[in-house]
Amino acid sequence: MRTGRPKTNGAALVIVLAFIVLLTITIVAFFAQATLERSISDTSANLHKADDLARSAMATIIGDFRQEMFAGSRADGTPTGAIYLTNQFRIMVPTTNRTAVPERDTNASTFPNLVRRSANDPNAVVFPTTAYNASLLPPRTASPARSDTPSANNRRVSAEDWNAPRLLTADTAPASTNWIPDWVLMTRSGPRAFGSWTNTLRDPSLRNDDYVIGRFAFMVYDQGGLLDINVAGNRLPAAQNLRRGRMHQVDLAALRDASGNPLITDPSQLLQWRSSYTGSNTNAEPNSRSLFDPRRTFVNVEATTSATDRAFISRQDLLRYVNANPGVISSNALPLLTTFTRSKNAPSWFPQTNAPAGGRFAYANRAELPDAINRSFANVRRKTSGTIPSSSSGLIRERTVQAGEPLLHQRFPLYRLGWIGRDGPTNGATAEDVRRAFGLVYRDRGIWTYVSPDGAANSTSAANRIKTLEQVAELSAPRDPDFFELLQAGILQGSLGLSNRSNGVSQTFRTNADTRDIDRSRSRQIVQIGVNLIDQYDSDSWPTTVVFNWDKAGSDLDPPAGSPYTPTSSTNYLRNLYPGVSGIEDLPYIYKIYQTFNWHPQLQPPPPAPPNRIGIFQFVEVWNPNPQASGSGPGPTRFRVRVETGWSVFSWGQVDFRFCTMPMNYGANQQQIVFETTAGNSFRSPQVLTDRNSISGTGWTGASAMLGLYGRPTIGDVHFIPGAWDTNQDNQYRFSHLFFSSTPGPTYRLDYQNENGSWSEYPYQLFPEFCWYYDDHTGNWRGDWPGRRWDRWPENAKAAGRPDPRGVRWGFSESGGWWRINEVLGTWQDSWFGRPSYLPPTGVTDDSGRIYASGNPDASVDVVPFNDWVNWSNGAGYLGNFAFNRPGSTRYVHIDGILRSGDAVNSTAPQDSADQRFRPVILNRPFRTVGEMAYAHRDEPWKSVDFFTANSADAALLDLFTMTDADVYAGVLNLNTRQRLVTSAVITGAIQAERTEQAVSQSVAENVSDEMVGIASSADPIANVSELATRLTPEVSSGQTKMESEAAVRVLGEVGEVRTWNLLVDVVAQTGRFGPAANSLDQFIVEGQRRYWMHVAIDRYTGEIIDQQLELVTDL
Amino acid sequence: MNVRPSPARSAFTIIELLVSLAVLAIIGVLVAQITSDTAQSTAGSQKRSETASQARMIFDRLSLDLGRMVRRPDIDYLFAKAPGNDALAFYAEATGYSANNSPTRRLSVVGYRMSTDVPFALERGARGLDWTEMAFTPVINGAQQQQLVGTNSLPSLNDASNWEVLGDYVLRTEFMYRTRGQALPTVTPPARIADLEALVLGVALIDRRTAARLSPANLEALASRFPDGEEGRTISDVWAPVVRDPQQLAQQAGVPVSAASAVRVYQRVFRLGADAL
Repeated sequence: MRTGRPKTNGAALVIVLAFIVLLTITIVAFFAQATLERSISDTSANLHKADDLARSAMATIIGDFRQEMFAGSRADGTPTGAIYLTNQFRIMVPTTNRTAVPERDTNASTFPNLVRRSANDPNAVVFPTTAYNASLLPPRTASPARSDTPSANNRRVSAEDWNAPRLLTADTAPASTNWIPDWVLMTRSGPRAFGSWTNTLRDPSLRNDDYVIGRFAFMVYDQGGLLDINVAGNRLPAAQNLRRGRMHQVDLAALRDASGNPLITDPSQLLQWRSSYTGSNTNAEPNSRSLFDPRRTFVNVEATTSATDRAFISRQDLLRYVNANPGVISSNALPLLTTFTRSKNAPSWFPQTNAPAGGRFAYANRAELPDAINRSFANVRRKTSGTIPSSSSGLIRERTVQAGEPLLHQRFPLYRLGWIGRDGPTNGATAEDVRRAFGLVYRDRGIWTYVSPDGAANSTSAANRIKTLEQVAELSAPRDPDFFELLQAGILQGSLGLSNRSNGVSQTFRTNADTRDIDRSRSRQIVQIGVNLIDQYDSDSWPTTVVFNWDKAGSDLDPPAGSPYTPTSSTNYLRNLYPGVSGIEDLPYIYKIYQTFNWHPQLQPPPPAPPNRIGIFQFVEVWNPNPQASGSGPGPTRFRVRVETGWSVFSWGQVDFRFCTMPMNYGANQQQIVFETTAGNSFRSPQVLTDRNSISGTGWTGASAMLGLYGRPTIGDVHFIPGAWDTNQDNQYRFSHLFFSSTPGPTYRLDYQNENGSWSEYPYQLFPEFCWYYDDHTGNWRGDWPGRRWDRWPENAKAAGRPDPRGVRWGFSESGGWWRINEVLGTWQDSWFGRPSYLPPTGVTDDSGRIYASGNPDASVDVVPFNDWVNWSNGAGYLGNFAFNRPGSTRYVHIDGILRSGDAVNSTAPQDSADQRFRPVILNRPFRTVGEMAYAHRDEPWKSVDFFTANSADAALLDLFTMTDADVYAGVLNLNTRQRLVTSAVITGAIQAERTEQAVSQSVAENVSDEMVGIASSADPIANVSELATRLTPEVSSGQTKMESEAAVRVLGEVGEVRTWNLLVDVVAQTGRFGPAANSLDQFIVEGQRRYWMHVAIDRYTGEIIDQQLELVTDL
Repeated sequence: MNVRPSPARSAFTIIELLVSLAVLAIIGVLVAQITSDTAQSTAGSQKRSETASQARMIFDRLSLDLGRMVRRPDIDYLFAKAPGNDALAFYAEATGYSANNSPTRRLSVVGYRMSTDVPFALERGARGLDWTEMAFTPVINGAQQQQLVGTNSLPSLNDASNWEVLGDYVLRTEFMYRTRGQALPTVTPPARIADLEALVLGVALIDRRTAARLSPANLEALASRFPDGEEGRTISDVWAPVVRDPQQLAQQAGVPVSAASAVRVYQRVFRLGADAL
C-alpha cells in the first residue's frame, strides 16, 4: 500500500498555497499601501498644483488688464507706437475717456458690478478699434466650456457658487445663467482658447504643447464702485458730517434700497464695533490718527493698547458678519458693499480740448510740450535723480526720486494751508516747511514774500519765479512743485490775466482806473487766487499778504516783450506802489467813489466874497459783500481810507485836496477817514462813509456829514453862474482841466489796523488812479461827461464803482447816469448803476455785445483783453451782470476765447441783494474737501474758483489737491460706478448751502447718481475727477446758487476716484487632465481645485499694483 | 503468484547529502539575504514613506493656514527665530478652539511650534476668536509699527488646550524668508508683512520605529547636528550635507548609522500673496 505519499503531498500543497496566500496578501497590502500613499501624495501635489495654477491665473488676468491699459494708451511716436517710456518709467495716458476705465462685460447692465468674466463669446467684451490698438490687446483665451457643466468626474461651479461673493445679486442664484464664465484651458504652453474639441488636448506626449494640465474660470467685479464698509460712517453727530469730504463722513443710514428701505439697519451697532476708538475723534492734526488726520489713510486700523477700531478683514469676513448680524446689515446690502478700495493719490489730469483762440491756448495739442504751462500731469517727468530730504519738522518726508519718474507723485495736501500763520509758520510747520511747500518767506504780521523754494530768500533773480512744471522737473536739486506752481499748472492759462483794453487802442474813456499792469499779470492772479485760498482756510479775518516781484515772478508768463500789452516802465507805477496782493477776507471793501463838482451853499465863502464857488468832492462807499464768515476768528475792526499820495493837504494838478466833511469843513483836514466795524454795523450793506459810521472824536464836524476828499483850485476860486453856463466857459473848463489833466489820479487805499495799533504796511485794497477824463478826439483830455457838462446840475454827482468790491481787476467803472445828491446828506437817488446788489434788477439784459469782445482773440497780439466795457450808456450795462457772465447778459470772454460763467449763471430769477444766498462765502475754517477750494475768489468780478461749469478753467485743481497726505489711501468711490444707490448714499446729507446748512436731499442725490450712472454707462465715461466740475449737470432749481450746485462736487471731489481700478477677481482653478477617451471640452478630469478672491488696486497710468489682498475661499 | 520483491531502496550517499545540504545552505543563505534585503528595503521605504507623509501633512496643513493667513499692515505676526527650532503665529481665517462653542467669525490665531510637553513633536495651535478679539498693532509713541517678531499684539496661544500635535519625531524646524526683491532666502523677516513674498519651512524628521530605538539624548544629539539657517542659503542647502553622510552624522551624534540614515530633511517654499503680479 502506498498510504504515506498522498499525505505528504497534501501538506506541501497546503504549505505552498499558504505561502502563496501570504505572499499575495503581502503584495496586495503593499500595493494598497502604495496606492494610498500615492493617492495622498497626489492629493497633496494637486493641491499645490491648483494653488500654483490659481496664482498663475490671477497673474494672467491682471496681466490682461494691464495689457488693456497699454492698448488703450497714447503713443508718443518715438519709436512709432511706443507708449511714453522714460528711463523705464512708463506712463499710459488713455487715448480716450473710454480707455481710462476697464471695458465692461455686456452683462454689466444686468449686474452693475460685473466688469469681466472668462467668456468664449467674442461679444462678451467689445474693445472699439477707434479707442484701442487691437494688435496690443490681450488674446481671448476662454474656450466654449461653461464652468457650470459637470466635468468627467462630476465637478462643476454652479451659478450659486459663482455668486458666493454676493456681488452679482443679493440672492444666492441669479435668475439667468448666460453670464456663467467659461473655462480657460491651461496647456503646457499656457492658457489657450480652443473653439472646439481636439484630440491634442488629451495627448500627454511630451512634444504636445496643447496637452491640458488644468483650467480656470473667473469673474471680475468693480468693487471701487461700492461703499467701503471699512471706512464709511463715523460716530459723530450728523451736523458734523454736513461738510463732507471723506468717506467716513457718509451717513450709513442713507444707504437704502430702491424702495427707500435702509440697508444698514443698525449703523450705531456696526460703528460701535468697527469704530469704537476713533469714530468720534475730530482732531485734525497730522498724525493725530483721528478721523480728520490728513495723514490717516484708513488702510490701517487704529488701536492703542487699551482701545481699538476694527475692520472686516476680508469679504468672507463681511459675509459672515452679515450672516451673523442680520439686524445690523441686511443681506440685500451685500452687492453694494466692499471691504477694499484704494486710491493712488496722484494727479492725472490733462487738457482734452483746445481753446478757440488756438496758439498757446491749444491746450490739448500742447499738453505734452515742455514749454506748455498746463501739462499732462502724469507725464511730466523728472530730469534729475536724487533725494528730496525730509524737513526738520518731519512734515515733509524724505523721498528718493529718479530721473524719468513722474514729477507729480502725490497731490498737494491742503492741510498745509494751515502752515501760513499771521505771525509766521504755524501748526507745527517751520520756515523750511513753508518755503518748500509754498515758496514763501515770512516777513511781518501776515506779510509773506514769494521767493520760490529755490534761490536766495531776498533775491529777485530768475530762480525766484513761479516756475512751470517743466522748470521744476529740470532743477538739479530735485524738489516737488510748490503750491503756487501747482495752481499755475492747474488753471488754464488763457483764463488768467484778462485786462481792460482801453487806452491806446481806440477812443476810450479813461474814467476807469488804469489797472492794466495788474490785470495782465497771470502770475499775479495766480498768487491772488492762492492767497485767497489761504485766507479761506485760516480761521481769522486778517488778510494774508504776499509780496513778490511781478517783473521777475511772472516774466515768463506775462505777455512777451513787444506786445502792445507789455507793461512799460512808465506804467509800473502800481507795481512799485503795491507789489503784493492780499487775500479776500470778511472785511469791508471800497465799492464806489462818488464825485461831484460841487456848488453848495455851505461851500461858499462868507460875504463879501463872491458866491458860487465850486470845488470837487469825492466820498467813499464801502461794502463787505460777505454776509457772514463761517468761522469766527479774530480780525481787524478798524480801518482807514487814505490817498496814496499823501497824508495831509496835497495837490493834484492845480487843485489842493484834503479829507474833510460835507457839509464842508475844509479847514479841518483829517488826512484820512477812519472807520470801524462793530457788532451793529459791519458794512454788510454798502454804506457811504459818514461821521456816523466812522470813528468819532477825530475832528470831524457836522452832523450826518459825509466824509470825503475835497479839492479846490489853488489858482483861486472858480465860480459858476447858475443858469448861465450853457457854453464853455473858460473858468469852468479850466477847473476840469486843472484836475483831470494830471495823471494818474489819486489812488485810494484801504488799510487795517494791526493788533498793536499800527496800520498795515500794505493796503488790503486799492482804488487806483481815480480820475475822470476823456479824450475828445482832439488830443484834449476833458473832465466832463461827453455831450454834457457838469455845469447843468452841478450838485449832481457821478459815481465810480467796481464790478466787485473785493478785487482790483479792471479798475472801476463810472456810472451811466447822474447821481443826485439830496439835500439830506448821506442818501441819494438811485440810478441804474448804483444798485448795491449782487444781481441786477428784473428785466435787464444786454446782449448788444458791448461787453462781449466779439472777434477775440486778436491774433496780432499775445494777450487780447476785452473791449471797453466801461463804454456804457443808456442804462444798458450792469456791473452785476458779471455775476452771470452768460449769453443774454453783459459778459466778457477770456483771452483764450472762452466765455466762462459767473457765479450766478444758474440763477433763473433776478435776486435782490437782500437774498444772501447769492453772496460769496468766507469759510475761515479748514477745508473739509478739495471741493471747498471753490469758495475762493478767483480775482474776477463775482467769480470764484469754478467747479460747476462745462467751461471751467479750474477743474484740474480737483485733481491737483487733496485732503489726504498719503500716496495711497482707502475709502474712495469709483466715479464710474453703476451703483446709483451707493452714490446717492455718499451724497445724501452733505451740505448744500454753507450758511443755511441745508443738506442735499435724497431725491437730489438720486438725480445726481442717475446722471453719473448714465455717464458711466456711455461710451464717454468719466476719466478724471476734474470732470465732476465740467460734466456733472448742476442740480438746478429756481435760483440755485453756485455753492449749492457744487454740493455733489464737494463730496465726490474728495472721495471720487477714477485713476485706480479697484477690482475683485474671483478665480476658480482646477488641475487635472482630459482622459484618454475624452472627446469634448466638458470631459475634464478634475484632480485639484483652488479658489481665490483677489482684491487688487491697479494704477491706470502706470499699471502698478498699488495694493492687493488675497482670500483663499474654502467654505463657500 | 510470484511476487517479486521490490528492489531495495538505496540510501543517499554521504556525498549526495553533503551536496544537498550545501545547496540547501546556499539557497537558504540566498533566500535569507533576499528576505533580509527585501525587508530592509521595505523598511527603509516605509521609513521614507512615513517621514514623507509626516512632512507632507505638516506642509499641507501649513499651506492651508498660510493660504488663509490675514495679511494686513496693521496686525502683528510672530516669526520667532531662535537658535534651534523656530516658531510662528499669525491670524488666519480658520476655525480654532474657542470658549464660544459656535463662533460666527471664522478667525483664529494659528501657531506652529515644537511642543514643550511632547518630545520632538511639532504642534499646531489654533485659538478661535470672536468679533471683538482681534487685536491690531497699537500706536506707541505716535507710531503704529507692525511687529513681525518678538512682543506683539497677537492674542495669546499659551493655553495648552489650543494646541495639538501635528507631527511626531520632528527633530528640527527652521523657517526662512524670501522678501520682496531678494532672490535668496534670508533669516530675518522683513519689517512689513507686505514685503514677505514667501515663507520657507525646513523640517528634519525621523521615523517612528527608528526613533523608538533611540534615547531622548540620542534624538537631541541628532537634532543638534542641524544648524540654523544661513543668510542667502536655503535650508536644504544647509541640511542636505548633514544627512548625505550618515556615517559622519552617526559618529557625530553618537547613534547607530542605521538611525542616522533614517533622518530625512524636507523643505517647502510657501508663496504668500499674489507675488507673481
